[in-house]
Amino acid sequence: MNRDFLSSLFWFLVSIVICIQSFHLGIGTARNPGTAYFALLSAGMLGILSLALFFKALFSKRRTADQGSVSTRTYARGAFVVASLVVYAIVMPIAGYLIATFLLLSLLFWVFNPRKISWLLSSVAFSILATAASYCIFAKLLHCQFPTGYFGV
Amino acid sequence: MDILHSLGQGFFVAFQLNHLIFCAIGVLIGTLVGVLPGIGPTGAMALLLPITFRIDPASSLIMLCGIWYGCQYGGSTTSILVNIPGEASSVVSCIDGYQMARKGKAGPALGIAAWGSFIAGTISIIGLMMVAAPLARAALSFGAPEYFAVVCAAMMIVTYLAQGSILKALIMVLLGFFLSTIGLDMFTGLPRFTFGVDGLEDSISMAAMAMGLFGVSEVLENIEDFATREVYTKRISHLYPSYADWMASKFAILRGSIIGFFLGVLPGGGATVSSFVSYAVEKKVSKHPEEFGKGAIQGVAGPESANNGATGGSLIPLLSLGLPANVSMAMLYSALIVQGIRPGPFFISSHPDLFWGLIASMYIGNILLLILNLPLIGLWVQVLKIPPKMLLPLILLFCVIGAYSIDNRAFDLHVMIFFGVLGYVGKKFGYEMAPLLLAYVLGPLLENSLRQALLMSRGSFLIFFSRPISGTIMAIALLVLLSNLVPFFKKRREQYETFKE
Repeated sequence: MNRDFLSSLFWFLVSIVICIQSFHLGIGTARNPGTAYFALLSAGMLGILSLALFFKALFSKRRTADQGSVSTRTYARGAFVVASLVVYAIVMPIAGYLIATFLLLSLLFWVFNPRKISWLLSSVAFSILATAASYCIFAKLLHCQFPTGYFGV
Repeated sequence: MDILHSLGQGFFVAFQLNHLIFCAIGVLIGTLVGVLPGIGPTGAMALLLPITFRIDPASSLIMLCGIWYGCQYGGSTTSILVNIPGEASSVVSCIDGYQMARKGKAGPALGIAAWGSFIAGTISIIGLMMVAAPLARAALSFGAPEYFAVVCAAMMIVTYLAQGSILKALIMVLLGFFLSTIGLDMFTGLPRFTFGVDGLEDSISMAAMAMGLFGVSEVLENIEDFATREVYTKRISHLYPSYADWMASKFAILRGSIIGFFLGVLPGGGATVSSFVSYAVEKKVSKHPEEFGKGAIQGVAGPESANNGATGGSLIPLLSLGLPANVSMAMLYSALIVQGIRPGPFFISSHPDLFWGLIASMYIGNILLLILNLPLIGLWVQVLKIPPKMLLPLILLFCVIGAYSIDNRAFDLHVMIFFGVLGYVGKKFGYEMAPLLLAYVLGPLLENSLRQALLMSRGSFLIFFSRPISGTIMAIALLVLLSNLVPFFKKRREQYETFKE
């Protein structure tokens, strides 16, 4: 299926949700614009443009330019990176910056590089180095405040 | 005389030790970011945004600008030596730059790119000095309708200059406008579109959004291509261009500087568009257009001058009107806002030390860049040999630190991840992310202007067309919008003619 077809439907749905929410918040009048007046205008135009894209995709004989084939393995690696970041965002306030960052970096170095046992040690070493360097620069030198977590580190 | 006096004061500011150090750090990071494919100036500026909160405004402005123009210098090195553009603005330099390197002329190619960049950078600073202050004085007469018209015209030009579909660019602009409304309403103080998420009440962090769109999404995209880079390994010599090279390039550098400066002023124009336009112009005016693509030195000198010429031009709308012309300028805008300084018509008169200090630092930065990019070229070649597999986790680490440390909120990490995925998927579907971020930055200004203007006119939209300045700007915006439709009607007419035949 044409990619524009799918994306236009998605944006149309988004515009409908925003419009409904705008009416709930209150749009006011042109004389006295309400809190959601501008958002409604934006969402309305977004809806119109997504419909234009929908019909353009519907009547277009050409398919959307191929963005290049990507293997399932690459997608899996991308999904793993995103999942690691999500877990990191949840774990960091609990475990603290140093522990969470060390674990995240070890995982990322491991995933991006050949997964051999010999490389595991290098991953851990690079992670310790990068975590310590980032902590020294940002927390000590630039006084950024990182969470210490339950372990106090 | 007035300008010279102000410039003298600017040099006094720029030569202070801390400002010199931050200028050097900025151009060094800029060159590094420019050399390394994967992270652009916007991502780098977003990463360093938290640092700027802890230093004085002049240092932060000088450093961030240093990254911006330093990046344009560094991008050419990768294009010429590896045939992979370090930055979008250096894509064109690959064509002839790499061919020159293959013919053993890597030295002159790098040399003319650096010297062209230096000359164009200097010309653009002079232009910035001449134009920004008078424009800011003119903008003092702007009211809400004029600002509304200016933002509308700016966004129309941004979509017009978008590299992909204009329709999709417009969709991104409208999405950006909507996202800018999330959080507390400035008029009523009521939360809107938070969908019950507490973190959204403080609105979406612009830095987290930028890091997601330009940092995380770039990493996700780079995962797809881990191909080893073939770096030029021969000794690089003759970095000072010969007399013949200078003669062949002098007008290309001059034209590139002028094109870059004027296109840099336009919203959405900037370094990338100007480098493409410059290349097209050079090919058009050349007596030997057949040499382009085979290692013509003008094909390097013109675009490299143009992308550096755009740096000074891009600063004009930001510093005199308060309107960022591109996403990198949006990061600069954000840095100034955090420091409690609002760019706009009063900026130059209220903070002359900042404005003139920045201009003077740009002169110094350009000289530093020449030193960094010519004698130290060997160092950048070594940097190019760092495998992306080692760099990507570190880029993600910087993104995480940058997003978190602005407000010390773990919620911003989720925002960054969300926009990282949106940026990656969006690119797969042919959507550009720059208009989204620009619209997000300009959204509050547009909404406030709209609401104020409607209150002034008691609900009449004619206020935008009845006042001379706003009417003229709105007419320009409409013309740009209508010009988008010309190719559509032309195509339909051609189809009709074919059908008739």
